[in-house]
Amino acid sequence: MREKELMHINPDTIKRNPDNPRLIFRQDELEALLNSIKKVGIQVPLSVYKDDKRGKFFLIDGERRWLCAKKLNLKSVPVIIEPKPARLENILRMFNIHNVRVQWDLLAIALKLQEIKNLLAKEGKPNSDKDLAAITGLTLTTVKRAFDILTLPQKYLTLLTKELKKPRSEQKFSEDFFIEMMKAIRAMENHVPQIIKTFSKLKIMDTFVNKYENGVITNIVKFRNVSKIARSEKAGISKDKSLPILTKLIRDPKYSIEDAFRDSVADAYESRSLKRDVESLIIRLGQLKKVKLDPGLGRLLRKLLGIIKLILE
Amino acid sequence: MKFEILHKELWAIANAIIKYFKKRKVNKFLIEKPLSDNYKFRPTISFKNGGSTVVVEVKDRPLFQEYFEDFVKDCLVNRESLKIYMAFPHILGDAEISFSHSFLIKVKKYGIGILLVKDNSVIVDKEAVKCYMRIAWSELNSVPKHRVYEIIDKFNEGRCIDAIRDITEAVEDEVDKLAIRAKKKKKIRPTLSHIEGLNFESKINLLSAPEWKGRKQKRYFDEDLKNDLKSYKGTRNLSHHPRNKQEERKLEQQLLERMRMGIRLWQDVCKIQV
Repeated sequence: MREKELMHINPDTIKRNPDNPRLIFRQDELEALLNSIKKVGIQVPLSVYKDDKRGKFFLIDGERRWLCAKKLNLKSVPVIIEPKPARLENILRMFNIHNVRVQWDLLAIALKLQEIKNLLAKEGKPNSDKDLAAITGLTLTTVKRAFDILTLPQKYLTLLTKELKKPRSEQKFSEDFFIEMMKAIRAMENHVPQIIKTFSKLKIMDTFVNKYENGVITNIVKFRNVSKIARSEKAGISKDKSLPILTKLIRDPKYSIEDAFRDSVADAYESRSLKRDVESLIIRLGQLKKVKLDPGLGRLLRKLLGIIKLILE
Repeated sequence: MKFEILHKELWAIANAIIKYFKKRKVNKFLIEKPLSDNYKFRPTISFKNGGSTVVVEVKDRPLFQEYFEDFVKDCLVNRESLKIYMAFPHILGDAEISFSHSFLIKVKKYGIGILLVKDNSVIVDKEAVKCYMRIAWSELNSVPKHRVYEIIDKFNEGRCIDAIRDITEAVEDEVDKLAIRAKKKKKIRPTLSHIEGLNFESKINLLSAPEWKGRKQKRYFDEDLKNDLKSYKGTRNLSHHPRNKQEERKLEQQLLERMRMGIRLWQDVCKIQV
């Protein structure tokens, strides 16, 4: 292996790394870096490799610093010249260098993960989600979430890319929004497939996106309640009751997830939750039998007894 | 046109700007190239237009970043023959673009132009002022500072003819006031009504004369000041319709000289003790 060299080179002789997964650079973050570099210069050298055939340097690490150096017309930038990596090694190095330092956008990760998966498959190497997690240093959950994002229709991938370019404070749609929405749709697909047959996944997505845009859905966590409605049988509510509610949720643009949840399974889930709590209380009270009762606890138990009597009468 | 540094999202804006200037007979554009090695900045687009350079910095939102401000200041200090514009999309997010007060103050202060791109066409929201067409006056003594700065701001915003008119009026007023004060303190001979009937040149002559109709009086203007004031009196009649680039450059030089001279004369007259 060739040794690494530290040099100062003209930023114009450097080219972008085509395999850098961080496809999205937010303008506001770049502006902050520009001001910082203007003041204190580039403190950490960029990593590059030299392509002898083309006589150019290619970035491994430091694309934002390089862009800033160009914008600020710097004559030279400090670089560490590394040996030219193979394609797969190049992408994996990108993951290992960058992902531990700056959180990439999930969409960017997803697109590169797909490439790694294809390259591994081409080389006949194992390429399951678990394998990908091991070689990239990502968690298995992140890998799964990344591939989930890739199953979105193209129009939503485009929308997401556009959103991600905005400063975080101005983003309306996030990757988390789509992941939560897709989990809800998957729950419908598994438990009430009739809904998917009637409306199609795309129509359901369009409905949810519009509702979120119009403020009918106020929080992405509410999608978890859609999954609960779809799994209504687990709470003892038959599909005959939940199906019309889900249909209304998709058909009526003003019908919110909270409304649908309240009209269908809210009570059932509440009583299921209460039942678990009571069961747990019975077990704990059973253990109290032989112990001398604390006066405060005794008062509360007598109050509880009164309420129970009222309910049962 | 392809860009390396500019955010891909803004390429359409930059290309609309190029198209706009192409229609105005600009053929050669420099993309993300420095004006010279001395400047620590590469504007998005720059080109030569009628003897001076035009710089357009394309941005996604109206923010005045420090590194850009430093570049603008350098251009002003070097008195470059340069116009600087900032270009923005007309729509930001879901709403029409709006400018903060602090942003507008800086834009005005530095004479920066604003271009807005709406549906691929360019709107000139504010014209840029050439960097060398600016007056900076740090030492202001005796004169009413607020009024001088108001006139200087007007000049620096590109309203040069109006500013010259104002400064000329200010100098003429000051000469009038001096003559009246001198008469009230009985330092000059003619009557007040006689003084009020004099034109500007005659007032200069009166205040420069050591005697009037053979009677001694106080002399306020020395020979140099008298000549400067006389040569200044035709200032407001400067033509502002140059026919070619040479005439335009000559007029610009005249405007700058007249403005500087106006401020100096105003200070000189204000300083005189009755």
